[in-house]
Amino acid sequence: MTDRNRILVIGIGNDFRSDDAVGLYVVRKIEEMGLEGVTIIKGINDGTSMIELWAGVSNVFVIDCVSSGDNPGKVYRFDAFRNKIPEDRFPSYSSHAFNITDTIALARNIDRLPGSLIIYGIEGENFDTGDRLSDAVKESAGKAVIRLAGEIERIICSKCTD
Amino acid sequence: MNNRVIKVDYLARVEGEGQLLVKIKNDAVTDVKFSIIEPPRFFEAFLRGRHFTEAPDITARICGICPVAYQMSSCHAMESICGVKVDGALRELRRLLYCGEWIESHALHVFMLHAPDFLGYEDSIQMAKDHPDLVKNALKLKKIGNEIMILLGGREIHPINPKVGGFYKVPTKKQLQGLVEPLKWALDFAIESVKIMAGLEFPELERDYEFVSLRHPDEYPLCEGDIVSNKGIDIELSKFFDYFEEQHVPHSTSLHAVVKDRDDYLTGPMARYANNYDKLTPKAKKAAEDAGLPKVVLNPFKSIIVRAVEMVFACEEALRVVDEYKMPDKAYVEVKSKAGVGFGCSEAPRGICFHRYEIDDGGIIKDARILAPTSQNQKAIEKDLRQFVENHLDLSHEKMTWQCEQAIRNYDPCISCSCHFLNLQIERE
Repeated sequence: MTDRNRILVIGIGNDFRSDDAVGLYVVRKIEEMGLEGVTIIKGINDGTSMIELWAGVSNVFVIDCVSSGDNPGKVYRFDAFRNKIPEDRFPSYSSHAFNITDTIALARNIDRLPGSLIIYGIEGENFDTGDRLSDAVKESAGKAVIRLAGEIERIICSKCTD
Repeated sequence: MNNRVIKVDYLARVEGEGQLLVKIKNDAVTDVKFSIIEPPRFFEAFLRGRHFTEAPDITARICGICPVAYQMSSCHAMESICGVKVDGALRELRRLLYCGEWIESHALHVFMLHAPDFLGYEDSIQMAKDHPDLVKNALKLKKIGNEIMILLGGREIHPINPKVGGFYKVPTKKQLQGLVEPLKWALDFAIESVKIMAGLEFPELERDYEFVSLRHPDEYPLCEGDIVSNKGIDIELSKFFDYFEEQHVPHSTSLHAVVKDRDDYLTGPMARYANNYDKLTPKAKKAAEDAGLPKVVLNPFKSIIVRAVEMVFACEEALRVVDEYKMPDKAYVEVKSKAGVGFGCSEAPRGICFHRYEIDDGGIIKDARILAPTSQNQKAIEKDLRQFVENHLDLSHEKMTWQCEQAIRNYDPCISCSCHFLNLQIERE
C-alpha cells in the first residue's frame, strides 16, 4: 500500500436487495468526490478478504447496512479498533461466511487490525429484491456521506501538515 | 442399553443450511437423515429459453465458492454441441483459472472450516488465538487463489471473463508472471500444510467406497475427462445417465444420486486422488508419500490431507501453466450455434459437476440438467454417519454430536449448490 492509498473506504452490500445496498451507495458518493489518497472498495465477497485489503493501511472505514429493528435510517458509528463491535447490531448470521464482526474478531486474534478502523452502520428498512433505497435510508445515507467525507478530509489535512 | 437422539438444527462451517438427525434404539442406529432444507434454486428452469452463450454467466451464480466449476462444465457442454474444441493456450488458461478456484476453496475449507474440528476449537476465530501464524498463512494462500481468479476471471467470485469458446480477454505473459513469486510461496506452504494435516488425530472410520471422478489420459483432472470409478465404470460423459440416476427423498430438497443397480458413491478429493494418483504432479505425489498417505484413502476424515495434497497440485500446475504460457492471438474460438444435446463435466473442489444441455438451431436452451457434487455425495454422507455412530456408541452425546458434524464437513458440502443444508439431530430412544 503506497502513501497515496493511506485511506481505505469499503462499502458492503447487495445492489439488488434494496436498503442492503446503502454501504455501496455511500462509498460511490465518496468516490465521486475524488479525494486524493483514498481507495474505494465497492463490495467484498468474503470477509477474510478485508484483512488482506487493509494490510498496511493506517485508516480504514467500512460502511454497511444494519438490521437491528431500530428506526430506519439510524446511523451508527463504531471505533472497531478500540472497542468490540456490538453483536446485537452486527450479529454473526452465517454458518460459513465471515461477516464484519467475525472478520474483525479474526483480525484482532491474529494482530491484523489496521491502525484505525471505523464502522458506519445504517439501519435498513426494506431488504426485498429491488434496486432503490427507502426514503429514510437514502436521507440518512446522504448525511453519513457528509460526516464520513469530513472525517476523511480531516485525516488528509492532518497528514498534509505533518 | 443405548437409546438416544442426536440432533443438530443448523450445522456450522458448511456452505448453506442443513440438518442431521440420528436415532439410536437398543444400541442400533434406526435412522440417519442428512436433510437439506435450502430452498430449491430453479436454475435449470432459468436456463430454458436463454441463449447458449449465457449459460456460463447464469450457472456461475449457483455458487460463490465454485463458480468456475459451473462455468467450465457449461462451456464444455456448449462447445461439444457446437463442435468446437478449445485448445492450446486457452485450454491452459482454463486450467489455471480452475487452479485458482481449488486453491481458494481448499484453503478456506482445510484451514478455516475443517481444521478447527481436529484441533478442538469452535471456529477458526478461536483457533486463530492459539495458531495465529497458521491462520495468517491460510489467508495468504487463499488470497493467491483469489488473485488468479481476479486476473483471469475479472473478479474473485462469479468471474465475468470466461465465455463459451474461451475468454473475453486474455492476460499477457508479463501479467501472469506476477503470479510466480506468490505461487512459489503458496507451493511451499501447501507442502508444509500436508505435513501439518497428516499430523492430526483422525477418528476411526473406513468404508468400501465407490469413488467416482473424471480421468484424463494426460493430466490430473480439472476441466475434462471420462467418468470412471474404482468399481469398473469408465464411460464417456454422454453415457452418464445410463449408469447414474437421481432419486427424490422426502427429507432433502436436493436429489440423491446413486450408481444404477448399486448404491451410493463418493465424489471429490478422495475419489480424484484414488482414481488419478498416477497423474499427480511430482511435488504433490512426493508430499503425499512423505506424509505416509496411501494411494487410496478410505478414512473420510483424512480427506483434509488429500485436500492439502491437491493444494500442492494446484500450485504446481498453476506454476507450470504460467511458465509455459504464450499469449494467444485470439481470446476465444468462434462458436456458432447448432441444434443438439451435449455434456460437460468438470472437477469442482468438492467433486464432479455434471451438466447436460439441449439447444435448438437458434442457440436457445431447450433443456438443462445440472448435478452438483454435494447432491451426489448426500447418500455417502448418510452412510458414513450411520457406520460412524454404530462403531462409536460409547461416545458421549457431546463428542458424538461434534464428530458427526465433523464427518459431514469431511465432504466440504456446498449445500446451497446442491439444491437443485444442515440441522443435526441424533435421537437415542
